[in-house]
Amino acid sequence: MNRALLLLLAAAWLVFALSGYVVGYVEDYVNGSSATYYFLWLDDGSLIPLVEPPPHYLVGTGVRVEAELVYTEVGVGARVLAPREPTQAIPRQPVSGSLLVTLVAAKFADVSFEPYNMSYVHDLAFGPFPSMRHFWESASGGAVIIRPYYIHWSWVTLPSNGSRYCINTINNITRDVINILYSEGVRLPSYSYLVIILNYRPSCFGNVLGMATIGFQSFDTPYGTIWLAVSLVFHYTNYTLNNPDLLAISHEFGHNLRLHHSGTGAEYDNYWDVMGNRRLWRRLNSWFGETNYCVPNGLSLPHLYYLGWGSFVGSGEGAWLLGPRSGIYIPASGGVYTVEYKCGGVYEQFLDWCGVVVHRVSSSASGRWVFFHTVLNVTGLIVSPFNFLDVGQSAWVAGQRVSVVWRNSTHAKVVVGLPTLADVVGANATFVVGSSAATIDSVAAVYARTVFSPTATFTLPVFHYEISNSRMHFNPLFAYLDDEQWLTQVRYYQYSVSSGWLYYPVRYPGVVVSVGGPLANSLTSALNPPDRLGAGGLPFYFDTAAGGIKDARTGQVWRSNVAVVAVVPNGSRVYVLVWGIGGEDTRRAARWLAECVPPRARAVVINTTDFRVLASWPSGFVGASVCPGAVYTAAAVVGADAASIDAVGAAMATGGLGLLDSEVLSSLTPLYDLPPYVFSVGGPLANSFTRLYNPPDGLGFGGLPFYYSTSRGGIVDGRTGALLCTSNCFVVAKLIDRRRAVVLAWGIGGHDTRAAAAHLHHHGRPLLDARSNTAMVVSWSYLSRYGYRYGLNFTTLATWP
Amino acid sequence: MTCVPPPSSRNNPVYPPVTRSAVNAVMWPRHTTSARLADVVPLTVYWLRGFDINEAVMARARTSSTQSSYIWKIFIYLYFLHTMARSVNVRGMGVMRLVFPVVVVAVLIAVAVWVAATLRGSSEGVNAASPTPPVRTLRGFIVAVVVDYANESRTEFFLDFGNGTHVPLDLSGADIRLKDHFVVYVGNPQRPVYVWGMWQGRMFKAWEVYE
Repeated sequence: MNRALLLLLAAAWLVFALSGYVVGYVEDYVNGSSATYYFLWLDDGSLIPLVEPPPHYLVGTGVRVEAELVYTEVGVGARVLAPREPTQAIPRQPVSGSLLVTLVAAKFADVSFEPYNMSYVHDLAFGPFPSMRHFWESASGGAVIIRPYYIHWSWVTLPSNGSRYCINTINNITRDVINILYSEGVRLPSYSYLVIILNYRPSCFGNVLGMATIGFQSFDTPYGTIWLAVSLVFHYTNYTLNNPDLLAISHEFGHNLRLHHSGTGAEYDNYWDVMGNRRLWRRLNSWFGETNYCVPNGLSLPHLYYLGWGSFVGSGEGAWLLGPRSGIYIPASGGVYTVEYKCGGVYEQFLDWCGVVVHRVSSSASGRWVFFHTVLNVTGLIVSPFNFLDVGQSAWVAGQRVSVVWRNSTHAKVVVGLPTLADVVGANATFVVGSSAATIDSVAAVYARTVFSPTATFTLPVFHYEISNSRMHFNPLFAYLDDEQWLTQVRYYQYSVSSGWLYYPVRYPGVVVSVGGPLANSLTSALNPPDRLGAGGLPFYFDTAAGGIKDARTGQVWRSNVAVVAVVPNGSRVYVLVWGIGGEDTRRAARWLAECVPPRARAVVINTTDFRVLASWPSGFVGASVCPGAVYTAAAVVGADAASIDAVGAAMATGGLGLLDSEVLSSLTPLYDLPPYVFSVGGPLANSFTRLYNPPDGLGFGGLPFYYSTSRGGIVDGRTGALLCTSNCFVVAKLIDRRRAVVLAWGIGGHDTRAAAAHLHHHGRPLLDARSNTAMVVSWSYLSRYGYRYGLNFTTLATWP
Repeated sequence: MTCVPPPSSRNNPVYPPVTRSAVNAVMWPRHTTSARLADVVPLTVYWLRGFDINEAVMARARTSSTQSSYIWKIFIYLYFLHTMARSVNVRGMGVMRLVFPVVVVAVLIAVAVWVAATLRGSSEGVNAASPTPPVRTLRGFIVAVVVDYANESRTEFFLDFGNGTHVPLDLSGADIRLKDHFVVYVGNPQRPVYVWGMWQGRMFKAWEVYE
């Protein structure tokens, strides 16, 4: 009987291995004590108490974990399992502790040239940042210490001419160096590393830069057989006389640590790994003064894992938080695919972009085992600088969707499998509305922005070699009309002598939140067209014959007070669709996103009156929504009859309540009903609320001197009567009125108004923090090259006071 | 060469340890069956250019896919005679230095005839009289050298006997039957392997790598 019960429990464990998310709450008691409860939150919303505290970094993060059922005296509970490790498919040979390195600068017998002094040679290998030692110690996170064993503080002369080393090079040079050192009383310890800097490159070597042993080799010496790992670095160009090549020496030492090249088909095509050999010359001020240093590119996750310096937080479907030295893996028939985020490491900071990159681990007859994996549909000789995923981008990897929904300088949230509404909450987003949609449709984007964080990323937009060689910030827009094509981020991927750098334009990163229905927003229409299934089989669509939203699976139709909220990966992007039967339904749908906990469904149909989920895809989430509500600190007011770009401009300025001017002004206590910050977006002719504070042809609230002159068609400074501008300019102002901050953002036209909102986002902090009435008139222009717009440029024309 | 079952598929395989004879086999394989012009030309060229004989041997190993032959030993013998002759710098020895190449050529012809006769005889005999077959199992460590060019690279594998001796190893097409990932074994003095294959000159063509 007992045996049968055990078998039953074992079977239950196998059957009921769980996957979910860790949540918890704390009860604080008046006597100062507290109790904390943790639960495993399953996809269907059920909570299972955890029998033991989970790792703190998993609580409330939305990171998927695996758990097992545990049977206790008080009932069934769950225990979070440690992340699985790929024990077989990805090799692991940890390296730690002190690595003894001998450094020798050697001259061939027939060339007396000494390209570097020994201080240079020493600092190249063992100096402060950037150096070979600093790179490998920082890459290992302190797991290894590069200890100089012996430095020969002058150039040694090899016994033979360079051409005599053309064959069996590394063995012959090493033997000669060993003998030279031995003649001077130096014996190299076994299992140590020997780095030899050579003074030129004999012609028989072709265009060799360096060579190295993979790991150790045995060498017969006068003092017995020893095992050495050897690196040779040739003086291949005089450019390095003034510009240290850290990459070459670090790369060769990587071979000594038993790493091989990690490119795509081309061995060196890996922009994200020191073993990929894509060169990064960066101007720094360090041990050789201010000059260009060729810095190593960081270390890829398969190599980090192999050396015992990296780990995997999990594998397979789920939402994962990737951090420094940690990632996920996806087993597949052709090998194991690893997913990692490269951005803010000591050396990664010099990469042109931050991105999620994929490697494939397998083996080949060449000895290579890590291969950079292209995820976008661009292939060629050199494609690794292009093939990464920024936020909002999505690609197929080993048959799975991999989407990046959020990132900062150190971490990125990646969803493996089809993302759900719960997964995209908090995503970095851009917002798109229909150019001719009703304002109420578009102002819904203000609500949506409370759920998402805007993308205002540092990037290299266009032709960065002409502008800068580091990541920069160009005040990019993240709110567009559906007919705009903002090609903000442009990635280069290959240089050819005939055509120069080949560029690949990518729409500005971020999950694309498309607000407004298929009849009002062409982007929504493309992804979720009327009368047929949407992208990826989305079963909810507008049925024109029935005049309502239809569920294709059941045939059910809802004709009023209803809206669709869906997350749809399509192509290489992730889209969130928010639209209702009418404009107010769209706004309510966005408010549902802002105030309710979205289920782990890919799409829902909601009742816009009570926020009840009427249908879900996949099914299983129908019922009342869980809506804790939201505390809004800001509201955006736009004119009810304003252009759509005014409204989407409001989403550029702030997230919060999205209101029409008529709604605010119809209130008996218009200002007291609003949050502390009220952004009035749109000019006095388009927005009555703006007109209240900043009427045309006269001074505004509190003596605000900047106003629109209807007779002169521009913005006038009332203090001098001067016409400040008639185009490409705007007013931003903060006015204190009855303990509310009324922030005005309006321009001559709709694009100027959006630029005003962008100015508030990127440069508005001094104005928003002002304790008295403040205003500015600013002119602006698009930053663009060769048809690519990549940001905004601002010039202040006047300030008040 | 007929294909025989790999050792791992045999019952109770006996793997030879690393012995001096195995190392000698590396340096001087005894399974030569023929001496061809392709063997002679590169050595002669290197010799005439004044290169060291070791480099000549290495060059020959890189350029020729045929097996080593007795002719190498003869050339090395001649090389020593030649070196000795060049080192003689005594007044009155000029005649001797003129006569010497003639002696060398004569010896070369005589030995070549002897080798040809020997080979013909052995081919007419039974197999039991033939030299050691070229199929061998070697034990050692897989090591590798990567040569980094500007836009490409070359990786050369060797079998390291642990005593400073490295045998060029051809792993293309080899059946890798190791417990761990191959990369774990490369350059790792803690993970010796057996390599089963055949000699191709100084290169050892691996058919199977196993533990």
